[in-house]
Amino acid sequence: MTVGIVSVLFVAAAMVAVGAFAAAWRRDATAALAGIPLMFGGAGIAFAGVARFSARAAAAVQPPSTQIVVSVSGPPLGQEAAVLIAIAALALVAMGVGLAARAARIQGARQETSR
Amino acid sequence: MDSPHAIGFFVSSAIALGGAAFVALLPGRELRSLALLVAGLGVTGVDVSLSAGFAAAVVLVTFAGCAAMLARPDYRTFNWVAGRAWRQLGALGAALMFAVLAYAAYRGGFAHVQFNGGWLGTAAVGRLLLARDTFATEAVAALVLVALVVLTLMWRSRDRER
Repeated sequence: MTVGIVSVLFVAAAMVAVGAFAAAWRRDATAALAGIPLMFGGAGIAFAGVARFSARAAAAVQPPSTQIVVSVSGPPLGQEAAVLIAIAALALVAMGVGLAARAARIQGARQETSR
Repeated sequence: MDSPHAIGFFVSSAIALGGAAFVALLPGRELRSLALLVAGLGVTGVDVSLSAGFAAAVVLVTFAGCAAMLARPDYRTFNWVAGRAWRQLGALGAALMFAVLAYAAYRGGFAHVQFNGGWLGTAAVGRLLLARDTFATEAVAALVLVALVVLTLMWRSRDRER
């Protein structure tokens, strides 16, 4: 049983797609916000996977080709991106929750006025 | 990757994808938040099996934070999509996106390297975040600050209305 970059990217793609489905399928804006951490988590998995399996060190850069190249991994830039993406997801959900609560209040006030 | 890591990867992937599916389909904010937390645990496990321990810890904290925010007791619904056709179109788009991404992953020619980092990677990621890519770190910090300000303003205006 082995895990490679393709397996990781499949899982990441599935996470992103399920997150997009959750954001699109939910009528309630606050419920749809739950799709954001899923999508960003999927992107983070892809970044961490590339850092683990395929990111070459700068000193060992070779011309891009479709052939398999074996060399030493570089600095974990993908892990860094995964960390930043996860924090950005939390910030976006916080902002979205605030804005959705505000929009719900405005919507409720308009409905009361129209009555 | 040795067998225990591979088993951990596949089990964690199943937990993450199962939790994500429940987030998309379950009714009720408490259940949805619980499913989001389970999905976060799965993503954390995947990151740990990929030797990204520090990123896994951050992911777990952020998923727990998101779940806590979405499970708030003063939850107010705001319907933002009116038409059923648009929702179905969005679902179809998500499926199409998965197909395209999976095809790209399957057909892509990737380099293969020997990973020489540790399982946690805190020092290396810290060096990148605070020395090499400081501007990106500060940009995300500014985003967090803006989000906290927006959230505080909304809470304050709600308290004033009461």
